[in-house]
Amino acid sequence: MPRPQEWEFAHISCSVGAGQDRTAPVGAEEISWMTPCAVEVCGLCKSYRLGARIVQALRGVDLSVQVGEVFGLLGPNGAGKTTLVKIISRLITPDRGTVALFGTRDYATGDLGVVLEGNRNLQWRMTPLENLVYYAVLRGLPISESRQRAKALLSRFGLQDWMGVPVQKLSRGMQQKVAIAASVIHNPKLLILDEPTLGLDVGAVEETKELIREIGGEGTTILLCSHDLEVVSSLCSRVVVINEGAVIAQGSPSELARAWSQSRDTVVVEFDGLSSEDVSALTAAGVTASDNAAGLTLSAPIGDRAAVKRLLEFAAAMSERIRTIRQVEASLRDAVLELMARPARFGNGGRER
Amino acid sequence: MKYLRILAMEFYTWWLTSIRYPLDSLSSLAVLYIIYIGLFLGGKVILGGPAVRSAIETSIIGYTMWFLGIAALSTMSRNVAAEAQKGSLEQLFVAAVPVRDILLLRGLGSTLGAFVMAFIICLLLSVTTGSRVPLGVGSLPALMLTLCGMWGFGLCLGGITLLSKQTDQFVNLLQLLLLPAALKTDIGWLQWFPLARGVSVAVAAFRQSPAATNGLWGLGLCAALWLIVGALVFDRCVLRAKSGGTLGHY
Repeated sequence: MPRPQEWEFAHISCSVGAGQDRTAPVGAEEISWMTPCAVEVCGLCKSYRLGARIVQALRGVDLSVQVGEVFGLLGPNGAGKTTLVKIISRLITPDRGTVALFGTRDYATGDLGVVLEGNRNLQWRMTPLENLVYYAVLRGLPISESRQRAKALLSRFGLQDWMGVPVQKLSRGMQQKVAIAASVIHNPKLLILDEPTLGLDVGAVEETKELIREIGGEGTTILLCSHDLEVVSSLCSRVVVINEGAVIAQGSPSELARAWSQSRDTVVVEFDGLSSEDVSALTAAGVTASDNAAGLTLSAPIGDRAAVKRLLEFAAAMSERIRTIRQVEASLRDAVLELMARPARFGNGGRER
Repeated sequence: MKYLRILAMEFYTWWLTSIRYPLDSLSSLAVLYIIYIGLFLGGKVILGGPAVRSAIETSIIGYTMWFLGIAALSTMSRNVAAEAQKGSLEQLFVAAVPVRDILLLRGLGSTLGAFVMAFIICLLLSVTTGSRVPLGVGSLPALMLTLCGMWGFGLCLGGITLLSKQTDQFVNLLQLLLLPAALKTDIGWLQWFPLARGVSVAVAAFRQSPAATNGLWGLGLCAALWLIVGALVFDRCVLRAKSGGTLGHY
C-alpha cells in the first residue's frame, strides 16, 4: 500500500491521455489521434479581489474526466469547487489555464447541462412542464419536440402528476428533480451537478442518486460536485479532492480511502463489565478507551503496532469478557478528514495571498 | 428559426405571467388608462380652443411612445436583476444563444405585450372620449425604430445591472428624466436620443408631413448606433462580471 506522502499533490498529466499539447494554440487540439477526454482542465488559476484582499480560488488545477465517467469533486467550503465548475460552464473566466471539452477548447455552453447549487435553476412562477419547454427552446430545440421530451422526462422522473403546478409550490426534492430534468432535456454530453443533494431529505437524496445513476448509465459524462461523501462514493468512479484551490489527491473512492486513511484503520474490542480504570496502563500505550452503557470499548490504530499488540494481549487475558472484536476500516470520510487536516501546501497557510 | 422560437417562448411567458396574476395586469391597464384620460382631459382644460387637438395628439403619441420605450428600456435591467435574484440568471448564460440576444428577444416579447396593452387602452380611449386615437399605421415604422434604439439603451442598463445588481431606482429616475424627451422633442441634443427623435418622426408621420420620411433615416441611424453601443457595453459588462465571478450574485 502506498504511503500517503506518495499520493500527496498528485499531478494529473494534461498531455498524456488527452492527445493534447498544453501549449498548443486554440484549435490545434482538435487534430487528435486519441479519443479526447470529456473534460480536460490544465493549469487553471483564478483569484478574486475582495476589497483590499486578493483571494486565490484556484491554484493551477489540472484534471481530466473520461467520456462516460461519473467524476466527483470533493473539498471543504471555499475549496474552489464551485469556481472550477463555473469556469468549465463559462460562467467565470479564469486568470490562467485552459479547459477543453471533448477535445475542443471552443465548446458551446448550450451543449452542457448545468445544475447549480441550491434552487437557482428554474423559473419559479412557471410549472415544471413550462420550465422544461422554456429551457429546451433556449437550448435550441423546436417547441413541439421540447414538449414531447418534457412530458416524457417528467413522467420518467415521477413528476407526471405535478406537471401543471408552479415550481414554487413543489417540495425541494421535486424542484431538484425538475432542475435535473431541465438540464438533460437536450441530451447534453456533459452534465455538471453542483451540490445536487444539498438540503434534501433522505428519501429525496436516494431518488436524486438514482436519477444521477440512470443518467450516467446512459453514457452521459457527469461532473459531480458535492459535500455528501456517501453520495460521491456511491456514484463516482473517480474523485479529486480540492483544498485551498489545489488538487491534493485523486483516485477512486476506495483507493483514496485505502491510501489516505491507513492510520485510521483500527482494531476494536468491546468488553462487558470493565471500566476505564481497569485499563489505565493500556491507554498510556496508545490504546483508546471509551465507556458505554454495556461496558468498555478499546481501540488501537493498526499503524501503531505496539498499541495493537498490547490490546490483543489484554484481550487474550480477558477473553471471557469480550463481547465483540473487529477491524474497522477507514472510509472515504476518514480519508477526506485526514486530507483536510494536513497543513496547507502554500506558504502562508491560508487562501489569501 | 431558433430566434423565432425563443421570441415565441418569451411572448408566451409574458402572456402566462399576465393571466396568472390578473389583478396586477388589470391594475396596470387601469393606471395606464387613468394617465391617458388625464392627458386627454387635462389638455382640453388647460389649452382649450383650436390648439387643443394638435397638443393632445402630440401628448398622446409622446406618452404612448414613452410608455413603450420605457418598457423596452427597463425590461433589460429589470430582467437581469430579477433573474439574478431568483438565481436563474446563470442558466441563461448556458443557453444555445448569447444572453444578450435572449434579453433582446425577451425585450421584444414584452414590448409586444406592452403594445397589446397600449392598443387596448387606445380602444378604451376612443370609446370613452369619442375621439380618434392618434396612433396610425404610418407611425409604426417610427415606433419600431424608436424601440430598437431603446433596446440598445436598455442593453447598456442591463450591463450596468449585471455589475451593480440593484438599479431599480436608477431606472425609475431615468424614466422621469426621459419624459421631457417624449413631450418636448425640439431640444437639439435630445435628437441623439431615440425617444425624442422617434416621437417627432411619429408625430410628423401621423400628420402625413413629408419630414417623416427623411426623419426615418435619421431615426434608423440613431437606433442602429444605440443598438451597437448597447451590445458593446453589455458584452463588456458580461466579461467584467465573469472575470469578477459575480455573474450570479445579487
